[in-house]
Amino acid sequence: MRWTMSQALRRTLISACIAIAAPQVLAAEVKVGVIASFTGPYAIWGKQFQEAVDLYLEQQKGKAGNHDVKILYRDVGGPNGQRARQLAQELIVRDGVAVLAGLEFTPTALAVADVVTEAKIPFVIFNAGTSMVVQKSPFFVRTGFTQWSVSIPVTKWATQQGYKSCAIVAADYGPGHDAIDAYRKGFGEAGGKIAAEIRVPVGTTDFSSYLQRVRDASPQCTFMFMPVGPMSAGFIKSYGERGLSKIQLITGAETQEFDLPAIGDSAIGVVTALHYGPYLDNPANKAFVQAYKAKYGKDALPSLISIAAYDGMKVVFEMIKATDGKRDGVKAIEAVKGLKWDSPRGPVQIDPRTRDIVQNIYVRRVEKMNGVLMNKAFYTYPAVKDPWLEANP
Amino acid sequence: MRYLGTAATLLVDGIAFSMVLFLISIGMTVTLGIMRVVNLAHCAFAMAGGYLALALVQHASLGLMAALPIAVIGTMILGAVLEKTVYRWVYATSELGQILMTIGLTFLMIAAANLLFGSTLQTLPVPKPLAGTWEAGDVILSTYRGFLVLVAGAIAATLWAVMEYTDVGARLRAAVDNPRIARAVGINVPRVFAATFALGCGLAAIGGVLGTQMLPLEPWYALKYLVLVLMVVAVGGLGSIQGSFYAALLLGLIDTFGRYLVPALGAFLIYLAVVALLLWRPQGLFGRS
Repeated sequence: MRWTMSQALRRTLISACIAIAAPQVLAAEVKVGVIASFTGPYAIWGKQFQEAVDLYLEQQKGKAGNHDVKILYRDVGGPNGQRARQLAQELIVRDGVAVLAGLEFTPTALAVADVVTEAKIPFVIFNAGTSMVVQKSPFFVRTGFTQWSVSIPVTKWATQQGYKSCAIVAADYGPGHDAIDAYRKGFGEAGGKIAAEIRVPVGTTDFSSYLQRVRDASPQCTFMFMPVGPMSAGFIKSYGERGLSKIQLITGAETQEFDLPAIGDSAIGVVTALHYGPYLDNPANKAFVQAYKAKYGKDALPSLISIAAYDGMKVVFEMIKATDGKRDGVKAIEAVKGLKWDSPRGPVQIDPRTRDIVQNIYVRRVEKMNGVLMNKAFYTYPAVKDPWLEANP
Repeated sequence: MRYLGTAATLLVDGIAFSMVLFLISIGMTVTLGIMRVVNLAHCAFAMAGGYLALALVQHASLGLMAALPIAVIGTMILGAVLEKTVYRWVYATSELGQILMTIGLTFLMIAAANLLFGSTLQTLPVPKPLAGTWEAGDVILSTYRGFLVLVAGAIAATLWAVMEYTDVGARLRAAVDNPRIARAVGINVPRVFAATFALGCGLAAIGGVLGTQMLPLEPWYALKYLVLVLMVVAVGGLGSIQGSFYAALLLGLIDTFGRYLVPALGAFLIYLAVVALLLWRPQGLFGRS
C-alpha cells in the first residue's frame, strides 16, 4: 500500500514539473495561421491544402529549426473577402501568429493585403492566379501559379507547331478575361490569327452552341480557360463528343487528374501547360507522391493544390528559421527573397523583386497509360517568370 | 451550305433541349391547371428520377436504357406516395402556404440528394451506340440529341393521342376546364388528379434521366432548373399541355440560337423573350384570361 502511495506521489510530482516547465515549451512554439475554404463548394481546396501542410509538418517532425510549429486552420468558406480580412486580423491580433498562409482566390488575397502590410506579417499565398496580387503588399509571397505564366508558354508552343489560327474560349469572369488577354497577346504577337473569341457565362453546363461557333470558325487550335471542376470537365467532354478533336484543344490547369475520370476518353490528346502534375518525372516528385500515398492511401494523388501548400510551407519554415521564431515580418520576407530549392515541381526560386515563384512550365498531353488517364509532360520551359509582372513592374 | 449545316445542328440541339424542358414541365402545368396548386417541388421529381437512374447505373451496373424504366416507375411511386400523404396538407392551405410547403419539400430533397450523392455535378453515361456524332456533309448532329428528339417526340405524340382520343384524356380535359362541372357529371376529380400527378412525376423523371447531358445532376438541380420550368409553364399557359409544348420549343430554340448568335447576351436572351411574351400574352400562349 505504501508502495502505491509513493508511486502516485511520484506521478504527481512529475506532472507538477511538466506543468512548471510548460510555459518554456510554449515559448518555443511558433504559430502559423492557414486561411482556406474548408466548407462550401470550394472545400476541395481547404482539404488538399491541409493534407499537404500536415504532410510537410510530419516530414519536418513539426519543427522549424528548434521551434515547434503549430498550425491554426481557419475556414473562409469561398471567395469571401470580408471574412478573409476578419480572420487575418483575428489570427494576427488575438492568436499572435508569426506567419500567415493559405487562400485560393484573388479577391480574398486582395482583401488581406492592407491587414498584413500594416501588421508587417508575411502572408504566403498558396494560390491566387491574378498576376498583380503580389504587388498589393510587400509582405506577400506566392507559391502557386498565374494564368499569364502558363498561357504565354503554351501559345509559344502552339506557334512552334505551326498553328496559324486559333479560337479562344473562356469563362466570362475575371480570370477568364486574364486568360483571353494572355492568349491574345502570346498568339497574336507571334503572328497568329484569332478566328473567334467566345466568352461562356459562368455556370454553363451545355456547351453545344459555343462548340458550334468553334467549328464554324474552323481554326487550327482552340485555347480554352474554364474554372477547374464541372465547367472545365463538361467542356472537354463535349468537345470530344462533338467530334472537334481534329482542332487541337490547348489549356492550362483544366485537366486535373482528379477530374480526368469524369471527363473520360474525350480528354485524350488535350495539350496543357502547367507547373505541376503528379506524374512529373523527377526524384523530388517521386518521393513526394510516395509520401503522399503512404499518408493518404494508395489511390490518393497530389495536385496543383497540394503542391502550392507543400512549397508554401517550405517558405514558411524558412521564415521561422531565419527569424529564430521571433515575430519579425521584415526579416522573414527578406530571408526568403531569392530562396532556391528543389521542389517536386522542379527547381524553383522566389523572385527577389516580385516575391512570386519562378518555376518550370511543362507542356503536357493527356494520355491513357494502363487504363489510367494522366498528363504526360513532353516539353519544358525552364524558370518561367510571370510575363505580366515582367511587363508591368 | 455551311450555314445550313450549322442551322441543322443548332435546330437539333435546340429541340432536344426543348423536349427535356417539356417533359419536366408537363406535370407542373397540370397541377397548376387542375388543382390550382403551386407545386414548386416538381423539379425535384425530375432530379429524383435522375439520381435513381444514377444509383442503378453505378451500383447495379445497368445501362442507361435499362435504368430508365425502373427510375421512372420509382419516381412515380415516390410521387404517388407523397401525393397521398404530404400533398394532402398542401392542398388544404392557402397559396402562400403551398409555396412555403413545397419549397420546404424541395429543400428536403436537395439535402437528401446532397447526403446520398454528394455535391458534384454528375451526368449519366450515354449508351455506346448513341455516343458521338452523325455526319452528312456539313450537317454534323449529336447522335444522342437526335435520339432525344425522337423519343420525346414519340412521347408528346402519345400524350396528345391519349388526351384527344381516350376516355381518360377526356376526363382530364374536363377536370382542367371546369373542375366543378366535372365533379357534377360524376368524374372523380381527386382520383384523376392523383393519377395525373404520378404520371407527371414519371414524365419529369424521363426528362431528368435523359437530359443530364444538358441539365447535369446536382443537389441544387431542383431549384436551379425550376426557373426554366416555371417559365415554360407561364409562357405556355397554366394547365395547357399543348401550350407547354410550344412554349418549351420556343424558349429552347431561342436559348440555343441566342447563345450561338449573340454569345455576349446568350444566357439572358431567354429571360428577355419571356418578358416580351408575357407582356404580349399575360395569360400565356394557350391560357385563357
